[in-house]
Amino acid sequence: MLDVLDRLQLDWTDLERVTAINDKLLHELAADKQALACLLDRAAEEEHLFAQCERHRLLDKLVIYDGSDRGFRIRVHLSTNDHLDRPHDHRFSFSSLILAGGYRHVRHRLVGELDTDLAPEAMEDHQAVGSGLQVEPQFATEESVGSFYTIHHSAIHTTVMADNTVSLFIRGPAEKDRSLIIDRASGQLWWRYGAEQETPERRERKQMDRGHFELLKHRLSALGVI
Amino acid sequence: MSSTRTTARDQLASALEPVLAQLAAPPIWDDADELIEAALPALQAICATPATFRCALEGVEDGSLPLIASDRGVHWVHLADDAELGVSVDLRFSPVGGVSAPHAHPHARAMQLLHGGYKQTLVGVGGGVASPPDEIPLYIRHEPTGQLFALTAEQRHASSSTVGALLLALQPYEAHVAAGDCRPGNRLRLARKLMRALASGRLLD
Repeated sequence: MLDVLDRLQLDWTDLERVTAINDKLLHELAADKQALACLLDRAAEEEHLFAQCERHRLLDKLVIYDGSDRGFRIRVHLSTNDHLDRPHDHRFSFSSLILAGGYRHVRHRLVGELDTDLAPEAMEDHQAVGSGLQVEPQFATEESVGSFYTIHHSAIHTTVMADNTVSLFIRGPAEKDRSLIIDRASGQLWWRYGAEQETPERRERKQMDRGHFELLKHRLSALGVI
Repeated sequence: MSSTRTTARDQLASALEPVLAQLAAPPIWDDADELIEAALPALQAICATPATFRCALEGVEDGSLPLIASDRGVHWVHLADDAELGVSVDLRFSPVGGVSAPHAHPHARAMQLLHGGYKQTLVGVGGGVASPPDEIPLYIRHEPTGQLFALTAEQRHASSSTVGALLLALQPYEAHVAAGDCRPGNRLRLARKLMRALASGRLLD
């Protein structure tokens, strides 16, 4: 599996084509539990991978392969026990395969004019500012184990996850310096930036420690993912 | 002398009446999140009602259920409705190899894929940061058997299926009223296809 990843180069300008490649790749990787376990072990050992593993309010992210120089990065996502409805876009397009759990997945239309100059310093939910924006849910589905999809970075969506939801996730290169998050009820907005633009305090808060990484590996094993 | 023969359509109406009554209020059709919330238990209950698919098949065969031929070989079978709640329950049968370019529907729909599968691409303007101004593929999905989803009338999408697809749909009452019936020959052909799909999906057990 590592040989395949080491040779892989992805062009995300053709979303149809990259979806077909990612579909096959993620399904093969999910089926090869030994390879997945090896990649997780490697992520714990190699500092440049471990440094990218992060804890967020809704999700823990384990970076298990970094092919950024060839247009992709592979992560394992585990839901936390906090589940909120927060429509957002991403800085990159991505494909996802659900390995455990499930979630309500909603694609929204943004109503109102997005002001990208609005409060660039708002990086946390407690710093959110009124945007006058609303969202209209236009598509909703119930994602379950085996669900696979690709999303363009500009699409606004919500994933309200069940406990112990696990996804295998492959992302493309960053297409912009930030993405947005909206509180659905109030329309308040804040931004997500890439690591290089975040404050040292926020970086430190997000950084995963080794104890938590091991805990997550045990959870993945108990869930039959590895 | 008047006939007292009970058709498959009558049986289906009786069987699904209490299921539809569980909806309690008309679904909110212009909010896909609200729609799936309301429709999900109804679609699951319809699938779990033993008479649903047996009567659907009999109703196609005996001509008592309206059968509508749509574009590209797609057929709709109207199973039941509730005018007060404003809902229609229908089966949608797509043939093997069916491909549709980006389009929207005149009505919102909540659907469950009963048999087969297909690729679905939602198209539109994303709306997020650095959003291209023109319509693009936003969300490419592979819909497997069992998948549930809801889409509003505004959501444009494209689809293709290499294996065909049989879907159960909950849609506004007016979605079926305007449609006409199709030729008797098509009924028999569709009944055979429906039988195969329902049997493969173990929906006649």
